[in-house]
Amino acid sequence: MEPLIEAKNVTKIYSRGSEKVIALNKINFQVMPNELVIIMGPSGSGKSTLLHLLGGLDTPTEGQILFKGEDITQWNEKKYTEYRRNHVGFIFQSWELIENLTAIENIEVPLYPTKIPSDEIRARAMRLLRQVDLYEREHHFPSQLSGGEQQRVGIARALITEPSLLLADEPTGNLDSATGDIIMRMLKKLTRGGTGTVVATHDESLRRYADRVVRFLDGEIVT
Amino acid sequence: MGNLRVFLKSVRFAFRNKHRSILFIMLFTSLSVFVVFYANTFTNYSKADLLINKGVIIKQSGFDVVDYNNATVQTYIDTLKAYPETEAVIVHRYINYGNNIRIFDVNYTNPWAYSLVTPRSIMSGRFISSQGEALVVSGKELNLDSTATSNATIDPSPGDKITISIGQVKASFYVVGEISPEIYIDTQGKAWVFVDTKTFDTIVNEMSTTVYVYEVTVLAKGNLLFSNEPYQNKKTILDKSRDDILNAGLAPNYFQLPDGIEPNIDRRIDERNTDLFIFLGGTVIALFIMFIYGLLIIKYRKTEIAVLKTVGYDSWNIRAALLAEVISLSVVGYILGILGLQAYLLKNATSLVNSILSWDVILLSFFIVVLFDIPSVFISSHSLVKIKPLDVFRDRG
Repeated sequence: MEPLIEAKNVTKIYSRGSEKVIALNKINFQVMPNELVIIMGPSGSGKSTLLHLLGGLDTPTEGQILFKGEDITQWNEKKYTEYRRNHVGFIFQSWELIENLTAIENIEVPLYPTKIPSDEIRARAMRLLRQVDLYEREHHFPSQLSGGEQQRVGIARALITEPSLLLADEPTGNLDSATGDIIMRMLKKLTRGGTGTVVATHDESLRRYADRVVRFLDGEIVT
Repeated sequence: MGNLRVFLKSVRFAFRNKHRSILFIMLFTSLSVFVVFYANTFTNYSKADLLINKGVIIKQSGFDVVDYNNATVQTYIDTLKAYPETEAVIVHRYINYGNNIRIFDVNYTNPWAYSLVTPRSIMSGRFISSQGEALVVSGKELNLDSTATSNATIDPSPGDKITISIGQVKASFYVVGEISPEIYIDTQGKAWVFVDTKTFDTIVNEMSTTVYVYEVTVLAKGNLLFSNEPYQNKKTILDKSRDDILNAGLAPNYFQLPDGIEPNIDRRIDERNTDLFIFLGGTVIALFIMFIYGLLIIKYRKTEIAVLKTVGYDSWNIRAALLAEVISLSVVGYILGILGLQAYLLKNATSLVNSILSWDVILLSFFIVVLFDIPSVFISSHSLVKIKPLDVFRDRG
C-alpha cells in the first residue's frame, strides 16, 4: 500500500539571527491511511516542525515530502492553499477558534470559500457537532465553551473538509486528562474511518492510542 | 461564488465584535458628516452661489419696456454672447396674460441662472423639472380670465392643474412649487406664474403677444473649483457689458447698468481656496483613516487571518472578508452621518425644501466615505494577506 504522506531525507534549518538552527535532520517518516502515528519528544525536538512541513505550512530546506506520491515541495502557494483546503485538517493546542463566530460557524468556516452549497455545509457541520457531542452548543461563542468543548469544535473544524490527513499539535496540551482521553478516543475513531492522523505530543500517557510511536530528539528520529 | 459567500458571511459577522465595530462606525460617522458638509459647500459653488461667482445680471429698467424681439435688444444680446469670456447667456423672458398675470419662462436645465427664482426660493413643493410644470408665488391669487372681465380668482398650490384659454386653444400646466412672496416685486401688482421654456413658447406662439425681457444673465467661462478664471472673466464681462449697453443706448431707459458691485476677486478666491483645502484635507483624512483601519485590523485580526490561511483561505478570500467588514461598518457610519447632518439641517432650517441634502452631494460623499474603502483595503491589507500562519503562531509562542 502506498503511504498517504511520506517525508524523505527532510532537513529543516532555521536562521535565528546569524545562528543556524537545525530543526530536522535528514528525517524519513511516513503515515499510512487508517494509521494514527504519535510523535513524541521534548519541546524543540522538531515535532511541530514536521507537522508544519507535512501540512504545507512550511517548506523543507532539503528533501522531499510526497503526498500520495506527489512531491509537494515543488508546489506554488496556490497549490499549497488547495492542499490545505482539500486534504489537510489541522488541530491546534490552543484551538485557534475565531472569537466572533459561534461553534457551528467556526466549524463551517473552512468551507465558505468552496463551491459546496450552504445547505450541505450546514448539514455537514451539524453532523460533526453531533459526533463531537456538542449538538446543543452550536450557537455558543468560544468564550462560552470550556477548553474541552473548544478543542472538540477545533476537531470538528479540521474534519469538515473530510481531509485525508489530520495533523494535531499537542491536542490535549491544555486539557485535563479526562478530557484529553475523550479527545484521543475521538481521533482514534476518526482514523478508523480512513484518515491518516499524526499527533505531536510530549504526553507519554497518550501512546496507548497510537498505532505507531515515533520519538524525536534534537531534530532526529531516535526510535 | 466562494468569495461572494465569504463576503456575505463576513458582512454578518462584521458587527459581532462590539468594541471594534463601535470604534470604526464612530470614525466613519465623523468622516461622513465632514465630507457631506463640504461636498454640500462645493455644490453651492455651481448652484446657489453660481451667480455671485460667475454671473453678470442685466435687469430691465421697468416692466413692459424691453421688447425681446426689438432689433437693438437682440443685437445687444448677440454682443454679450460673442464675448470670448462668455460661457452662456440666459434671457429671462415674460409675457402678460390678460391684465393680471405675468407668465415667465424658466429653463429648468439651468435653474440657478435667474436672480428672480431659484430652487432656493421654493417654499413648498419643488422646482420645475420637466415640461408642463409651473411655479406660483405663495399666497398670490390668480385671475385666469384673460380679459379680466370677471373676478374669478384661484389660489393655486402644488398639485393643482391650471388651464388657460388662448383664443380657441387651451394650455395646461401643473403647479409643482410655491415661491416665497419675498421675491415678489411687481410694481403693477400682477400675479406671477413661472413655466418651463417649451410651455412658454407654446403659449407665446398661440397668443402672438409681445415677449418682454426681465433680465439677461451672462455666465463667465471657467471652472469655479480649480481656477481663478471665472472671477477674472466676470469682471471683464461686467466692464464690457456696461460700455456696450451705454453705446447701444439701452441704458438707462431699457436696462439698468449691470450690478454696480464689482466682485471682490481676492476675497472670493481666498474663500474658495480655503474650502477646497479643507475638503481635500478631509479626503486625505479619509484615506488616512483607512490606513489606520488597515493597521488596526492587522493588530486585531492577525491570528484570525493566520487560522483562515491554515484552513485553506487564499489571498482573495481574505480580502473579501476584510472588505466586507470595512464596507459594512462604513455604510452604517455613512448612513448615521447623513441622517445626523440632515436632522441638524432640518432643525436649523427656515425652509424644509432647501434643507434636504441633494442627491449629488449624497452620491459624492458615498463615493468618498464608502467606495474609497475598496482601494484602501487592498493597499492597507497588502501585508496582511501575505502573512505566513507559522510566523503568527510562533510570535504568539
